[in-house]
Amino acid sequence: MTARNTAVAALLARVRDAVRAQPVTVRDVPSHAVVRRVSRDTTNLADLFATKATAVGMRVTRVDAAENDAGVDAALATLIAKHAKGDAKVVVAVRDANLAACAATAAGDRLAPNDNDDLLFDCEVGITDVDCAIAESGSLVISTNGRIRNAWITPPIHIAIVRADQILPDLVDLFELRPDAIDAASTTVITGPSKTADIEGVLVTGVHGPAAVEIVLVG
Amino acid sequence: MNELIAPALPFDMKPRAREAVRDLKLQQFVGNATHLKDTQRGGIFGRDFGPDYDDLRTVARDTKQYALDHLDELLERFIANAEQSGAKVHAATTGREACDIALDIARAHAAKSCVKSKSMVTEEIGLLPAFEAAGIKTLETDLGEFILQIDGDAPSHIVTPMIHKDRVATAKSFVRELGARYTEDPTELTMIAREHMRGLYRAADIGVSGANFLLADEGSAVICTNEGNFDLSVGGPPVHIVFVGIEKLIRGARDLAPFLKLLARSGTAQPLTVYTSFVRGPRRAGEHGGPKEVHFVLVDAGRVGVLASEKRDLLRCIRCGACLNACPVYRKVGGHAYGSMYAGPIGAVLTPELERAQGTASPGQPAAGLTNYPDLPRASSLCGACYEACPVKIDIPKFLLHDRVRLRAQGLSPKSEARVLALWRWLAERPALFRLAIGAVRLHARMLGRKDGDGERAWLSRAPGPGAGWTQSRDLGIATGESFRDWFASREPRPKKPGGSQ
Ligand code: SF4
Repeated sequence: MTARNTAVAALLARVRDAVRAQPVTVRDVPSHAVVRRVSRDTTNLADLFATKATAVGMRVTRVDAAENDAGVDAALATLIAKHAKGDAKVVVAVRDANLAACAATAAGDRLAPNDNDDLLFDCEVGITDVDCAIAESGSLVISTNGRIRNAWITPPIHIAIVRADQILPDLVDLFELRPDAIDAASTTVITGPSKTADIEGVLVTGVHGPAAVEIVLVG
Repeated sequence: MNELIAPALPFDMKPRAREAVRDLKLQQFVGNATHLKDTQRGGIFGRDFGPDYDDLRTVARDTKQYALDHLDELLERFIANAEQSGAKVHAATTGREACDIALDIARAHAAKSCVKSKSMVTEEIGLLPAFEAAGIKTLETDLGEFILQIDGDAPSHIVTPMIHKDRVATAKSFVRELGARYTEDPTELTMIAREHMRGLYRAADIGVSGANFLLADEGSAVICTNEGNFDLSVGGPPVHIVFVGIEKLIRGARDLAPFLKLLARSGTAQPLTVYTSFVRGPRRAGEHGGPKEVHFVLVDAGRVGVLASEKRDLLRCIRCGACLNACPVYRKVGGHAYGSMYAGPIGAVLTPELERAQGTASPGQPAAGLTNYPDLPRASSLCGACYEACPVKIDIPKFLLHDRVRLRAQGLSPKSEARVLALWRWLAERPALFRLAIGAVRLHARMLGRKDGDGERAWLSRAPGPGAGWTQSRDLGIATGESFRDWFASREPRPKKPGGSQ
């Protein structure tokens, strides 16, 4: 056994004794039904998601499902034009092949090569899709599975493409229905642009992560 | 270590409290900020959970208590699953051991620089001084912690560490330490810090963080931030070390939702923190970015002792900071008065308890925790606001009382307390005298006190004799209506219900 293993085993033994030193007061984990309150009666998840995402400071552009790729292309192109000035670069970290193609088209010659992690710091915009989204809190769930890590954190602007059928009602559903979404080296649930209020409680966005998060919501 | 949060023992709270009460700026910042946060917390729970709020807290309480009651099983499962994902798990009995483990890892990688995201446990174990002493330049990336770091200051709140500091102090330190131009604008100051740190993220050899939760089923750590600094500090460097107290374990993602919903609402009145990040081992084959090595350092530092004690409940704490914001004492004295990184009500019970469990007192001394922090159990009005605010329903007042009893048993209560109680008891046993004395006090107070327009409220701005201390920084309310005894004597007898006791 290595010293590391010995120390871990010793800790386990001490914890075992400590647990036994007091009576067990809770034998079963209670039902978490009450946790669902905000998302309890939701008929239109896309609307609830858009409302909540806006409430936490993200911006939502809606694209009609019927418009398909052309609609996504146009929305992305508008957003890129809005945020990328001069010779600003755009990094595309989209797992869905179809959407990745849309994003690459929209980025045009701003597109940064996607094989160099260091490059993120030089990009102005990061475009991603999502593993899923959560209506109740307006959150995006993005994993490193099939995407360049931190393309959604490092550039000052994040554009996320969300399909309506990816929206789950509640955070609870993420853990119950989509365990795959957190089975990556890293997954981040994003609920707003990067924020701080450390200096006298004044809210400032974009302290480390993006100052603006734009969502293209399809359907 | 910074003596603000690691003072010489035994710790005397009174001089620091006195200083804080006299510091008008601190009174204003801490008073306003805590009051605002406390109100916002009430607001968001009311809107989002309404009458279910209490049930939600009960669920969280029992879910976390279950984890503590089965911590050995969960720990075993966590270790197996984390190693399965390629992470390395370490165990440290003391803070010193935890630092040594990190130093070994750093040495193996010849690390010279480190980016660190906010973590209470690393404050507790003194990681920063240990790294600096070993020549590893360490950057606090949380904005508040960064400002404290360059100022040689220490956190005074679990969630908003620089609650005691203002923009002018920040502006001055940025000019002095970063050579920035002078500005008091919070947005500009934030952007100066951002630019300063971006280059350092890129170059760092090692990343360090704490964790808010450990998931046994998944072998993952969950880290909550609003700034995104965690994701940046774990994404760049080739090695990441997560320091985490063993009490952060829960069964798994299936139990996580109530805590995430409660944590952000209780701390900062948000539905979720902006970033809730899951770390599940090192980068996988074919992935772009992320650490090639992930280490979890499981820290005991007294927790196992607390787990074995009748204060096990304290380990439910998810460090949301709500009890600090709600506490009338914290609001007046600020965080540094508690002489620990854990301030406020939870700090007042946890600090002596962790100290006791680590047994660092001089040999032969009983219950070292309280002898070293004799003022902390009394730093409370026992109003119960902390319990009401706590998302995992830790009955802090109960434990504070428990500690006061122990203080008395050990002869550590002040003499004046015993004298006052003896006098009170003597009076209370003599009804006629009691009446006379209370009447005299009432009369006296009314003569000295001031009244508002309609005479409904009255108060003393300066109380005489032993009451003077109380009114140094606040007014003493005076009862204006009739006394309970008068009311009781004059009340109409309740009409008897016909037909007996039903
Ligand atoms: S004791 Fe409760 S209210 Fe205080 S920080 Fe811990 S969880 Fe929050």
